[in-house]
Amino acid sequence: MTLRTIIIIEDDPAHARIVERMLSRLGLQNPLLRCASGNEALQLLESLAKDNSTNFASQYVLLIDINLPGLNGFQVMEKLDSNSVLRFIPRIIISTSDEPLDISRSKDFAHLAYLIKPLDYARIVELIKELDA
Amino acid sequence: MATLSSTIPAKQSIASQIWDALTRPHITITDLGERRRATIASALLLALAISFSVLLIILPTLPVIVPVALSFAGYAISRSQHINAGIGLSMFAFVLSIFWQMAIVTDWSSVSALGYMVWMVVPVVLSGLLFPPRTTFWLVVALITSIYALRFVVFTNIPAAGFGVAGGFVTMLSAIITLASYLQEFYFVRPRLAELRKAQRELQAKNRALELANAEIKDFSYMIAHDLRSPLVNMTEYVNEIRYSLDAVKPAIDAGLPTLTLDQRSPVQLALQSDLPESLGYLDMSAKRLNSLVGEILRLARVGQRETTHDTFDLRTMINSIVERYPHALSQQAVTIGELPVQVVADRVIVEEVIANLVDNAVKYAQKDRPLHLDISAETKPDSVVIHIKDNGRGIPTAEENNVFMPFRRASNTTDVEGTGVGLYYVRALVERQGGRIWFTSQPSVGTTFSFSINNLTEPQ
Repeated sequence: MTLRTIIIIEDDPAHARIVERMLSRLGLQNPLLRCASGNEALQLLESLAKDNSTNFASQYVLLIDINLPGLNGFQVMEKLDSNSVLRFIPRIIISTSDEPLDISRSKDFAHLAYLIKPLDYARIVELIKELDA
Repeated sequence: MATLSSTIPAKQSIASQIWDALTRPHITITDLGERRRATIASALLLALAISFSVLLIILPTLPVIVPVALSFAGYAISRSQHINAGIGLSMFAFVLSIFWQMAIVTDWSSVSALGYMVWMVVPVVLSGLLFPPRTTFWLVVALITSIYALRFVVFTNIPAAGFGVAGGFVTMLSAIITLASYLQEFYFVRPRLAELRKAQRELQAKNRALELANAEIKDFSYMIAHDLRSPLVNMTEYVNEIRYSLDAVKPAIDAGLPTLTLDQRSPVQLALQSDLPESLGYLDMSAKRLNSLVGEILRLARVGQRETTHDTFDLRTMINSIVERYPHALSQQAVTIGELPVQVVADRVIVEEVIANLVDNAVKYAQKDRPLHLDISAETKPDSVVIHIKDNGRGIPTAEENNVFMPFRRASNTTDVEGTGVGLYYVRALVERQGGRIWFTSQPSVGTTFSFSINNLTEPQ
């Protein structure tokens, strides 16, 4: 069984790197891709979706930061929702914000969890392992 | 004109009440409505008076009815495009009434024609100059009717003429009421309305500015929440990374240490065993402290943005649920809850936040050598509820009382407890957000009582 690819959409390289390190340290062996912006992530996903369409959504999981340059995390999810294939990729929202406004807005989108930084990496590992199981 | 609403003391003499009623500014919608009703009433009185005159002195009233009808027609015409014709007709009616009246007067020695004319002409001309045509019209009617009635009594001795006199006075009275209402409108209500509209415009401008400022604060706090926090989170996480790496290399270094000379060994040991962990510890602590300060600033920024709500809730349930959060510090015997209003209508979240913060403070700053005791009570006032939270804690040093509600300030006897110094500032902001006030009395090492008011929006029963 192949492990799904984790795509982390995070503009801050320092944070993206720590996520990478922590997830692999906690024993996650899934391949990991990083996108520095929402647009980059959308382009990447669209090009990936062209090549294989069967079970596409089950091959990926997204870690989406809310505060992104250009399209923010919510706007990225809006775009994903408007795509008939990409909308089914599971998402984990990661954010520095505990603003009630952000948390309530996140409820407009399907997601596995809204996690506030510093992240609970064990929880991420658990969620991804559940998906792969 | 300084205040828009004046409060009347409970007990007043009748004279001063009348004086108040006469001099109090009438600017509310109700007052304008009353004035309109007064005008209608005076018009009805006038109609009554005219019908009296017409009924009781049918024939001799012609000199009244004709000029008045002409004057009315003149007034109506003057409102149309033919202004000059209308004014001409009114002038003719006026002159006609004077000459007709004079011709009827039989005894020229009793009533001086000159005095008669002065009596009639001066007020009419004056009112014509000062007031709108309608008032002048009523004044003409009133003067002619009253003078005619007076003349009738003096020269005919007919008792029925008494009614004419009465009718004349009633007419006069109605004219005066109409006149007064116009006086009020032109010299009192209109300038005040202009003033009010100006104040309203200013208020709207201020509101817009405030909305803008609020939006800016919102953007600012959003920026803090996201942009300022990210590097802080990274700092905390990378401290952990360095710790992890240190732990990883430690066995290798430990293994290699014996191969080093004593001089080489001691700086490595010092760095590894005390300096590096200490530096990382302080770095971590500073980042976390900065992060919690950012959190506090955010919390404060949110108070101003919050729209207050009106909820109906039970204070006792709320207080009990707060107290239950401290099963160890606050046992059942440690809290006395006094009489509380059955229901309060206010912003539930704010009131709960305030009480929770004050209770939390009491628990945190309890005097260590005696068990904490809390006394929570409330006073119900006509439009507010004052809640008192009394503790037997360490108290606030008298010299520092002025700093209690200042942001990022902590009392000198609280250094053993962690905190940012924002708590009570936040509490005050919350209380003031919903129109209340907060204050305290304290005695060092005896205890403190915090009191705050909440606007109770319950309708009085």
